[in-house]
Amino acid sequence: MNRTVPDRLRRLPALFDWRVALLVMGLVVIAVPYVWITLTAFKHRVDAAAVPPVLVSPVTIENFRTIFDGPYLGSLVNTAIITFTTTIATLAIGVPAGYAFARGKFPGKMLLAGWLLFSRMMPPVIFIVPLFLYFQRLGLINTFTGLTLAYMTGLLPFTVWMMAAYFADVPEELEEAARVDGATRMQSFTKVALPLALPGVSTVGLLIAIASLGEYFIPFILAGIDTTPASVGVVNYVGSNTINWGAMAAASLTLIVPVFVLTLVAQKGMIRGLTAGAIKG
Amino acid sequence: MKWQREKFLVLLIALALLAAACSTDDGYEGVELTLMTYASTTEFDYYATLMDDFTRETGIKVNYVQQPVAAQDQKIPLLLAAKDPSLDVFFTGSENIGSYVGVSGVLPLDSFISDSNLTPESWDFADLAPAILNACQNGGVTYCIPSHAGGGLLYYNTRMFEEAGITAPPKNPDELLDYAKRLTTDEHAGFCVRGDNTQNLYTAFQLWQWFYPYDNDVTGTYFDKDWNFIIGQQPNANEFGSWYREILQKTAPAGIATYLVTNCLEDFQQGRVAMWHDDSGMIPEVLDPEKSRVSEETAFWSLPCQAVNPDNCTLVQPFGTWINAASENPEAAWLLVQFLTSKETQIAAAIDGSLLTPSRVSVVNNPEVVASLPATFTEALDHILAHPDAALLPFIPEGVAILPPMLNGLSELITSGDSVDEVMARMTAGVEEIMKAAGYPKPFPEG
Amino acid sequence: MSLPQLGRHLALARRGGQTVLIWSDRHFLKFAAWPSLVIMIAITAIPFALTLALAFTNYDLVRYDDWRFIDFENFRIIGRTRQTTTIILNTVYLVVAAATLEAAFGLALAMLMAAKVRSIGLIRSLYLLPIMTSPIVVAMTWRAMFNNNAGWINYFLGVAHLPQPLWLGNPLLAMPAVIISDMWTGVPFMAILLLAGLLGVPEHIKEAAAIDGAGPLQIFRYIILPWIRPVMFVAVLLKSLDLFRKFEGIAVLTSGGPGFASTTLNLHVYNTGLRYHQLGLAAAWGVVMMGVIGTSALVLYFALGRTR
Repeated sequence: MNRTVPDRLRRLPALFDWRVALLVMGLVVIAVPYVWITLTAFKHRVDAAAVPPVLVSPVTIENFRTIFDGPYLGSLVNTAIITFTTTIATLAIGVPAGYAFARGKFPGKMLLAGWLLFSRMMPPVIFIVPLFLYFQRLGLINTFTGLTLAYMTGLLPFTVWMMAAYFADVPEELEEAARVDGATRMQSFTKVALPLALPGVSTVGLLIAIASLGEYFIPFILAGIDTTPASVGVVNYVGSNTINWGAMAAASLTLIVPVFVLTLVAQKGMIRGLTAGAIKG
Repeated sequence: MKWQREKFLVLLIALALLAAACSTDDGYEGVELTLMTYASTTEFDYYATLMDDFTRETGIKVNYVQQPVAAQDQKIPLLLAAKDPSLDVFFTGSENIGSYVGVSGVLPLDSFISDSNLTPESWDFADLAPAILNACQNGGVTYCIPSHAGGGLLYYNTRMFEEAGITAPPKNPDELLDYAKRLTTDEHAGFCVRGDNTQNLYTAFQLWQWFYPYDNDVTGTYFDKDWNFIIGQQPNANEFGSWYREILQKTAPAGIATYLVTNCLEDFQQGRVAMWHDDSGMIPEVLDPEKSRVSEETAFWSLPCQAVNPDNCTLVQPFGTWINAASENPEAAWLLVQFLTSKETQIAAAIDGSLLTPSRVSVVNNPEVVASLPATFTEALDHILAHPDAALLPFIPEGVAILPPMLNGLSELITSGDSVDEVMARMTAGVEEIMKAAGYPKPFPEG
Repeated sequence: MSLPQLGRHLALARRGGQTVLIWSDRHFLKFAAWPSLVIMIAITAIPFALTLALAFTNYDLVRYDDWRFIDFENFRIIGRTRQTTTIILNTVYLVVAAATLEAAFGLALAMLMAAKVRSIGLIRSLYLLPIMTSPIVVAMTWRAMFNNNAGWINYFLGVAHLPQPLWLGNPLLAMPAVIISDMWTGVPFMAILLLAGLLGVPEHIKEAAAIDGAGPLQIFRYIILPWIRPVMFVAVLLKSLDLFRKFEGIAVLTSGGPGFASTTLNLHVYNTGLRYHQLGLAAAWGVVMMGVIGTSALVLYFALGRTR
């Protein structure tokens, strides 16, 4: 199936290729939930939960008014803050660690590798209540610091593994050449290895950002009134008795649209980066 | 010029002291309180609009936080047990009183109530309906102020009744079952309650009031004074179990075993079910034409008590306003609680249509409020308040702990093929095991 | 010291990949890696230890100053609980079924995406979108779509005159509904990871085999599959770990119901600890869960991970 495509076929419009046709059909199936969200965001409450479902109904923007009237706007700001700090912090700590893994032995390597694997395997729900009580003693509940630290427990393993793979791709000869010329190890890291691994760093950074955007369980327990992100805020439209589907769909759109735009903008680098990491895996 | 500077300093200090003395006269300027309650609920959405007025009156700023049900119900016990001072006032159902008192998480309120400096006569503590207030009291001490007394009642669709030739709502469980069968057609199901094993106790409790006796005010229909589990006692257990199984397997919407409150509500609003037994708090949702297609054809009814339980057969589940024991501003918190549960607030909320079951007797009888309530509801409300069972969970610390076997047993009644006998016996065994592990039988507590 | 002088002091010798460095450089790797170690241990060590300790107590959030050590009693309770087998089987069912289906469909999708045509880059990125959507949003949307009466799935099935099953109400269909909703994100995820492996298969090997007379199926079986085995292992491992910790997708869709039909270990730990406040018992369930995860990881390693 992967035979080389002759040049003349390559110049044909993409749609004529049966593989692309299948892929497009698959995309249509994937799009159905997004269509539901978009349609529902513009429905009146009585139509949003209609039985049997009404696909098209009178359009309204009251849902958007609803979500921006309440605390949802604040939670979007919180999401931005948390995503930003988590990404920076995780990269700052995880990238050098990945480099260290790729470049040789150091005391504690097995311990770190084991701990990272163990943490990745352990679902948050198991230790969330002790973590809550522990953070509470430290005064970290309802703080961005606390949330960032908690997010890192899940994101650091992934970051370190992926960056180890990318750095392994960077030939050591280049760094040695730099060192022969007089650079310290730190300089060969920052001036040689890091720039070469930058596509990997940005990919991992993007993935961290996206994971932070979607994180629900940890902020559900650890965030307070000042730090609740939008991923938890969306669920505010699930009331004690009713679900305001329209408002919830509108809120979901505010989370989806930025990700959609980011994805389109960053597509080339993302695919290359994701796939490169997996090869070394 | 040292002495001039000294004079200036003394003047500054004097001014500062003066300013401090003046501000203490205001009392609560600059105090900030945090209140947590449920999101997307009409009553609490309404109170949110009053917070500016409160700040104007007292100078206290309120962080009015609304969160989803799951977050509120799960985080509050965590915060209380961790003695977290970031929470001051909160609303939850009063059935949690056992666990909150167990962790000493909430402040007793009697000292505030009797302090005439904090609580003016006009606030009128005695105006709170005794049956409702009872649920907020444990061992004679008041721990919460009830804001509303959600009652269990039957919502029914008058048009569907007419079409089926039924002229009046049912008077006993047999009639209810019979009508439900007649009302089950291709277009709509006959009867709905919460079936999912995360929420089903709330509605099953309302239904079993017609099958079990009410023993006492502390353990209600759950235990007698010797700690026997009433729900498991035969022949009542089989009667209830078989009735519950039949009505839900034959006349309820498909998929009832995973139905949450929202599912029944949505079905009723969309005209897909004829009768629905649940909390009266959702009346505004059902009567709002923006949300409900059946707003013109809904009526309300509270079934009469049956012989086995003649005086306490209607669920009255107050929502309480509580103060966190770890709050740093208990007096300011008390002012907020007073404000939220005052006569004026309740009347305004009732007329606004967001609080239909106020906890104050005078408000329930207020002519303006009565005029704004839906017709058949006033009759039902009178009946509910006259025959209250406020022990949604027994008022003991183990109230929450005995939930799993009951929730699962109720779910098994509709999902498993085991006989009713077996399921009820298993439920009883589960409850008894938990009580035994907790050290029961113990001396029976005072009401 | 100036840089050239430093350079004169550097002695480079290679011994099995390790470079000998001067004093400040010798510690660089340590300093690069230790912050991670410190942070991970600082945040997780105490909670992990607490959880392990809790598993041997009867700690209940409601009576929290009245607890004691009860040795293995929690584990005995787990052994006696009727639903234990169901819960463990549900977990294994979810992980095995979802991972297998997603690996198979993911591989098929990846083979399609490996096509070298114009605009394939855009198509590949669009397939990334489900992965990028917040899981809670995904869960709520699928709940609406699976709704027995008001959902689109049954609506479209009805339009096509197909039977409209009771997705969320039938114990036999609850888990399949969860699996289907997971596939919406899982298949693209696997496809993207496997695409990397596919693109890495050297063209000349495939061409040589074709010249020798091998058909597409044989090329697939004897060249492509073995080549992507390491990638497949990583992909399946990552996905399985995610499936073990799947929470919103189940809780929002079925609440673990009807009854316990779709309750997994993760959900049950949550219910026991956070809804019923039995933290000791929940911690014990957590230990059981870690046992199941560890065993599965080992099984996966022996099946897929070992390179010949």
